[in-house]
Amino acid sequence: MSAVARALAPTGLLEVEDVTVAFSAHGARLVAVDSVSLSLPPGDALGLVGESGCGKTTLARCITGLLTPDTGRITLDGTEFSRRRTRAEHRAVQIVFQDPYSSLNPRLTIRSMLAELLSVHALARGSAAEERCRELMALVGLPASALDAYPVAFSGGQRQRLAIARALAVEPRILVVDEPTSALDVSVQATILSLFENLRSRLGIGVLMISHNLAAVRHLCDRVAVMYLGRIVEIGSREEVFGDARHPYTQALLAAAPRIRGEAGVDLPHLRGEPPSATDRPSGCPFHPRCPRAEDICAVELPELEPAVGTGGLAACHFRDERRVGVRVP
Amino acid sequence: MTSVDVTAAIDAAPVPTPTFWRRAQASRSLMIGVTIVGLIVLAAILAPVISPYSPDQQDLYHILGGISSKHLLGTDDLGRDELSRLIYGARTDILVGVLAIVFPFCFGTMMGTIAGYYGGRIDSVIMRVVDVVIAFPFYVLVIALVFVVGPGIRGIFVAFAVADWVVYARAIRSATLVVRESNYVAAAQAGGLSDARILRRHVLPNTIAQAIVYAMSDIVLVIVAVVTLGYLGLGVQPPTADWGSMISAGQDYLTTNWMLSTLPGIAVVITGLGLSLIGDGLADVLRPE
Amino acid sequence: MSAVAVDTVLSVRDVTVSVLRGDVRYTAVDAVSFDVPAGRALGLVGESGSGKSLTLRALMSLLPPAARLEAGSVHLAGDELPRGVKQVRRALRGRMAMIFQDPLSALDPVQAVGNQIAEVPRRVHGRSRRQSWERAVELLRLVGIPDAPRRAHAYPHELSGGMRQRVVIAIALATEPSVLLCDEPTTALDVTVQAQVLELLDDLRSRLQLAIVFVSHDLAVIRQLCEDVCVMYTGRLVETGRTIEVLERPLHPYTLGLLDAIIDLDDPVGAPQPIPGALPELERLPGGCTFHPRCFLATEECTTTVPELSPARGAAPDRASACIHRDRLISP
Repeated sequence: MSAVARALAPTGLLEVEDVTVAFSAHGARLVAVDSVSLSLPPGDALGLVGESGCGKTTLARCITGLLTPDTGRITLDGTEFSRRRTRAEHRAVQIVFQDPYSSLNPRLTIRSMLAELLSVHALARGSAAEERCRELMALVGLPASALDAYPVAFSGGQRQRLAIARALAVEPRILVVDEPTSALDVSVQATILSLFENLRSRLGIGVLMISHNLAAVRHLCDRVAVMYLGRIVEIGSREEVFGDARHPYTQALLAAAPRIRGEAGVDLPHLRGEPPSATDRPSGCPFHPRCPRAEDICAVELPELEPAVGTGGLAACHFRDERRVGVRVP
Repeated sequence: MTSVDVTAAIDAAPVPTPTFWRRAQASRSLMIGVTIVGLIVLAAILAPVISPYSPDQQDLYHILGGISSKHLLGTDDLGRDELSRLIYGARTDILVGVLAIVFPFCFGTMMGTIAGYYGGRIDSVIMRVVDVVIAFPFYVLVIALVFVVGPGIRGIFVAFAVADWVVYARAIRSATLVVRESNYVAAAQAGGLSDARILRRHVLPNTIAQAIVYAMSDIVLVIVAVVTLGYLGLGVQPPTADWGSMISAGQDYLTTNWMLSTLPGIAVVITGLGLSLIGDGLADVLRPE
Repeated sequence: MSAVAVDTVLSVRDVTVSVLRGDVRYTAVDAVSFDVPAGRALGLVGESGSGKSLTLRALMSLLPPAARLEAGSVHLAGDELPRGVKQVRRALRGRMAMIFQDPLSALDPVQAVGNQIAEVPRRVHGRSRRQSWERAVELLRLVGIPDAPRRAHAYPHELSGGMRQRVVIAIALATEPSVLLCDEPTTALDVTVQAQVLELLDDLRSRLQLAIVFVSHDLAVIRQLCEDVCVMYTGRLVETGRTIEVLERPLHPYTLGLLDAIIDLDDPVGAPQPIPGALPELERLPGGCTFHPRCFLATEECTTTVPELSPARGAAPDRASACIHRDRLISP
């Protein structure tokens, strides 16, 4: 790409290449993230879905720079992040946490919190900083008077918005949101998700959304990746993953999610058993003990994440080419 | 259905939080404690003004006098006015008490913060040192150090500097371990803030409350230790008035002039009570709810 | 689906609970009434501050210290429950049990799960140790724990979240209750595990003819399990009826607002509509109908009159709404 073209192209392409994170606990080696690769094009929204122990939070921390992967690399617009990120590198990727009640420093006013970031990154000082703080409040739909208050004065939904304002203060290119709505009331969840959608289109920020709430992911994200026990087992566009899932686990998730209208999912048997622990990995495909489609090969050979026939998505299943009984998507 | 613009869905204005001072006033323990200690401190500051006599002024014609119009609380074995010595004793003991904990507080907090935040080898090294110091019974260590350095106020400061910082280190380390895992610290790290800044603005303000509350009871501890050392002759040296040496000197006269030992003892108790109440009250008020 | 049972097992009338904030008592639950027949599940749905959990705790006499039952009566199979805490606890034994959101904190970490279940037949029913243990293993099988005789020796931390919740259900069932109260038991569970637990509860409901009261903030979960639903807002019932009907033809603007705000997997990918305004604080409840500041149907009358929960005309008898403008919600 020529220098001019590169200058004109939207920036913010995040690429995760073959990242592995392992912990050693009591002598056992626990692989939390197992050779994960994905990419987030500029301004896109990617949903990372999975249940507890699948490694999505660990992966999110790596991407945010809070954790260093053992192997693999994470790049932004082709440039690899340093192992210990610099201040400028930290600006590029920001995170919004799940629990709004513990993500704001109780001892700082909102103004202090924001001004500190603006000052440290030399973005604004003095009256310019004050102006910027007010803009940030407006951006997340809070009154300017909120700047004088301490976090304890705010409700969960409001705190989540403050956390978003903090993340936006440094003008990141990518926003990682970790279960942004699970701690909030239902009527407030919609507001927060709308806010993300709004920000994405206005500011062109890429969003990586970690969630177990499939409906929220489907609402917000163009692309979806499904994780199980540290690996991506399916990845594709919203339509591909929700409408034409090729991995039995994805199907099980879709079937298990309760709906307001109509019966839950379809006539799929409920998944037996529980998500296994990462220290006790099954042989071959880690999903095979619970999989309704499993055959002998599944206990022996680990399926790779590969394209499936008849769809643009990728699935890590020996039977990825089979179209499953579909979950209807309007 | 009405379509609602996101920015228009502004919630109710945030509930204003009572300021620190208002909460402080609401805490009865704190107010009572501050009053008690405040009065004692005031007396100590105004000692030259309110004491009827100089504490060193001997009157060998009127030793061991009881309550009289000239000596409201009697005189000791050298004819010195008990009341004046009590007031000047407050000056000595409170000053020594407060100053003696400054180094342990600062040093202990710093060590605890570093150990708790960085973990790993730094944590191990610091905690091993702490373990070694804690292994010695407190008074044995203090007495030994005072003995080595020499009795008197300097010895007291050195002894406490060495023996007392460890409690702060441990308490702060525990609190730091908890705060380190919180999301706002993670957010600060993700925000690219330097470690020093994070420790100063995000960690310390949320851990220091424990140290402050403990410091209150630590002052009492120091005062009692000074009193004990004074009792053993290793504390504040005569003729400086201090409650410890007054208790010690007065014990020979318990049957005849019981006030000589008892009054300074009561003074220690009241001061301790006041400081405890402050500690209690602060613990409530400093909680960020 | 199971056969519909007709006899009412749990009858709750005008339960009112107050909470102490600072020095003032506020009404957190306001005259809540409902009936649950044997073998049916009733959902109690609402957001924070709706009073749904407090209502359940009031039934079991498990209110936190700052809360107090001000009024109301609870009848189990026709017998009225006494008021004092000790008397209620004894009266509830073997008749009503409750399960909570976090199974880990509901279980004793230093006792094997089998023992925790066996404690009930031993203490409550006076069975021998061996009989109690056998009963515990039987209950573990009933709640679907594989390899029950071996698992009974496990400690809570050795079990996964879903299994712990099943153990908690087993303990609740050990008293052989006719009513099971559930306070968000699946909120903390993974979605596939949640599906299993809901399936289990549904199965137990029909097999044992349990009357279930299920509290949740999640309408979709309630839809899975409960035939009937009560919607609560700031401590009051705003709408009741059969779940399917309430969800498809709501008769209260709050219910409607909730449905519009919820993102459901089956909906078209479009923008959910948040409910304008915010949940009011307990200390600052609006006058009249507490929902009026956020309601698109609100009129002058709504700010002054507290609407009563009244049956809808021409609908099933248990179909009720607390909105004076409900007719405007019935689409032609």
